[in-house]
Amino acid sequence: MESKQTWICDRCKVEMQLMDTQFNYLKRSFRHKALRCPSCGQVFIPEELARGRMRDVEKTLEDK
Amino acid sequence: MDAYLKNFGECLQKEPPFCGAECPFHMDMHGFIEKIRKGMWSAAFKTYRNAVGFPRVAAALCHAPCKSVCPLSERGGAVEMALLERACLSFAKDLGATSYNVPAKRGRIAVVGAGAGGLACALRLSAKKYNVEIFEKEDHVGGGLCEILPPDLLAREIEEQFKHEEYELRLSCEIENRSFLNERGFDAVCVATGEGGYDFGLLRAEGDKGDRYCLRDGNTAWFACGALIGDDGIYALSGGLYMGIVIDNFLKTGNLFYPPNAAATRMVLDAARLTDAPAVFPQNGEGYTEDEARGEAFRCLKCQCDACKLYSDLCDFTGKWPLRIRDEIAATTLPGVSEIKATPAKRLLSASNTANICREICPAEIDLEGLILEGRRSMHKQDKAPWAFHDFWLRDMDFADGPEAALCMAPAAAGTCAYAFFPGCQLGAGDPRLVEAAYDALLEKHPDTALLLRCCGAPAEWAGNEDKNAEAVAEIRDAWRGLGEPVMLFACPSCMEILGRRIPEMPLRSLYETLADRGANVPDAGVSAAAPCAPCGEWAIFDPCAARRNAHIKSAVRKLASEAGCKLTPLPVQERVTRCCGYGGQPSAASPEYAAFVAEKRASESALPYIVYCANCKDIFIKAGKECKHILEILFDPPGAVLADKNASLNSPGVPFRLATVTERRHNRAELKRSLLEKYWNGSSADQADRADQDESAARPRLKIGEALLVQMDEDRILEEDVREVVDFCERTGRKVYSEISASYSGYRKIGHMSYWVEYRPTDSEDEIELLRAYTHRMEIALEAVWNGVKTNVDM
Repeated sequence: MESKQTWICDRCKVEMQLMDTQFNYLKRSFRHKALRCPSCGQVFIPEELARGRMRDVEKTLEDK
Repeated sequence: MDAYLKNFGECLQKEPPFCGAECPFHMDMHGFIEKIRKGMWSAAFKTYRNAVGFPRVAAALCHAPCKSVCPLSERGGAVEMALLERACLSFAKDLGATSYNVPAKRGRIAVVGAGAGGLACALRLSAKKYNVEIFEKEDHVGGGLCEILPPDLLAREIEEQFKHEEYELRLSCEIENRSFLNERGFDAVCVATGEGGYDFGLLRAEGDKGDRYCLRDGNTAWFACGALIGDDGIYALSGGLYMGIVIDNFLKTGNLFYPPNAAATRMVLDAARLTDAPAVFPQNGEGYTEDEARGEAFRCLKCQCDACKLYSDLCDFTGKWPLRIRDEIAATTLPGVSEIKATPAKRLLSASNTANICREICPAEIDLEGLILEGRRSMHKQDKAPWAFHDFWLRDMDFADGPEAALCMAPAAAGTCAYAFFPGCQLGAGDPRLVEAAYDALLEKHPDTALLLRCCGAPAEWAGNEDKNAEAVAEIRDAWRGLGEPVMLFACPSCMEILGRRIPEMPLRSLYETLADRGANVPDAGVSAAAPCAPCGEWAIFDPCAARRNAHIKSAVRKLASEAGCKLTPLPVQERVTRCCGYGGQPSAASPEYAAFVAEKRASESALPYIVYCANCKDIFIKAGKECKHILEILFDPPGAVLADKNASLNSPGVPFRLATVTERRHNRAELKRSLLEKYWNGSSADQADRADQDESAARPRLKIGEALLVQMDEDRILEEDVREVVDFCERTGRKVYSEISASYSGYRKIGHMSYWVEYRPTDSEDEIELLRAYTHRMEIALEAVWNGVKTNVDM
């Protein structure tokens, strides 16, 4: 995917921005920057992130 | 849990090898052999010297009793341990005695007699830095050894081994009574006066705990060893070294213990380990060259009880012994949070089979899989098991037991039924025609056969979810009672094994026995008359783990296959040790690598195609690229499309057989129910709800999914229903993001535990949407309950 890729929140019609997002998994919570709509807070996780770094973190937490 | 852990106390992994137990010195044979294999001669020599004290003396005296117990003695000849020991003496660069930097100890010990036993005892104790005095009545040391060994060799050896030790030697000093030494303040006395020597009353003495040849006289403990107590030759030497340990123990604890210096081994060697390589003989007739010695060391089996390592896939894959796995599971399942304790087996617990192979092959019948299942139950109870390891199959189980797929019907023709067919949920999911054909054949034989479509509860049992499992079992029991307690006929050996255990009062039989009774050659409604010749050729029957102990099923399937014209060749290992295909216990979510490893091992056992009679084995093998057929396919060779309507084009004639995707497996189950109801019960009203559902889905735009994405979704276990739900949700709520580059929308929804993402775009056609991506993550995006529709009708 091209690096200039932009994502727009379809409701608010504003560009998604990297913002702190809270995640929970297996009774643990942590924050990480992810694309969010600055207006309504909607999150977008691209496939590369879900299959890459996120899966690694999931695996680590499952082993803990 | 405790009972399982206790069971491990019987483990034979650490039992000494046969030769080590028989060796007078109980030498560390594995270490010795390993060092020779690596050509580490000085290290090997050190192992030898530490065991025997006087290596040159031992090499001359030893008659190699180890050879009499070597498992290779009948197969190519026992390992030539004596030659290997001599090779160490020849090739080690450093033959010097080791100097131990140990602080001096307070105990004073007298050794009476400077023969093999006395010298050995003195060597051990002086090396431990005790204060040792040797009393010898002759004017030279060596005792009986002087008659066996050249005097210069003996003198050199004694001098070398005592090089770093301090002791006092009193020659020509005969001790005539105990009081002489008692009065001089010795803490312990070792009497090694040789064969027929003076015994100081020790030959008839007994210690505090009934041990022979020891007594307490005032503050002094007396022990006898060597030829005096009947230990000749090499045993006098080993007895003396052992005496060093006995006296050391006495001085440390004050307890007068002198157990016999014999080691027994309970070791069991698996016959598969035996080889027939002939012993290496030295070319020069005297001693090994380095290469010859290493060759002989490589021939050694390094005997160890390792049936688990040989046959348990888990031990093989992880490289861990069951004792280690036990420790990891015990630590993991201890109550407490992982921040303050280790949980090394969290994944391993779910990344393992539960096919009880360990208990079968372990000489001590240690139940590793039992411990694993108990561990899973414990983790589930403590709510510590990662849900992702079993979630998919628990949802699958709910579907199989739900209104779309489950069915419990008595035959329309008969009022009561003597039999009920339980095909199991996976057979119909993979290929519904097989269930239908088998039911046809059964009805032909027994028209009073009921039908029970649902899951046996295995996923809940394997997830450690006792409550869910008990619920499933109770429902099955109720259904069985409601049908009038018929004999249950199982197509899946796993369902049969599980329900046989859970509902012991339920009479059960395998479908294959019933079909074999009937005689497969009788053409009838289910069997295509031309079928028997089609599968002619050579096959191997792969028995599933659940049928391991059921000889009836095994022989019935063989009979059916032979009668259908298959030439059967037994699998070399599976026939003897029936192992899991990789499905049992459902390890593939926790460790897909492990599941693939097991499948590959089983598939590669023979180049022949397999005949299986468990639907799961079939799926596993097809996935691993192994040619494989279910016995029912061979018997019935059912006509028609493999799959129900969905994506039937992918399985059109001429296209190689492809496994049903996770979505198709659900459709197949629903389709099976619908078609059976229609065929035998004139289309019951029970599926009205289904139809209503279908009508509703017909109103929505169709999803267009490319084949590569379908395959990817199947691999990721993403159902088309899940994708549909997310798309609908995004469209309904407007919760989606737009990409300008691809003109597509992305959005997600959490379904159950899992978050599902889709990327899609409208097509030219109004009633079709093209799916571009589908992926999932297990982490939950926080606050999703507020704005992602779990709270219904929230208008953002």
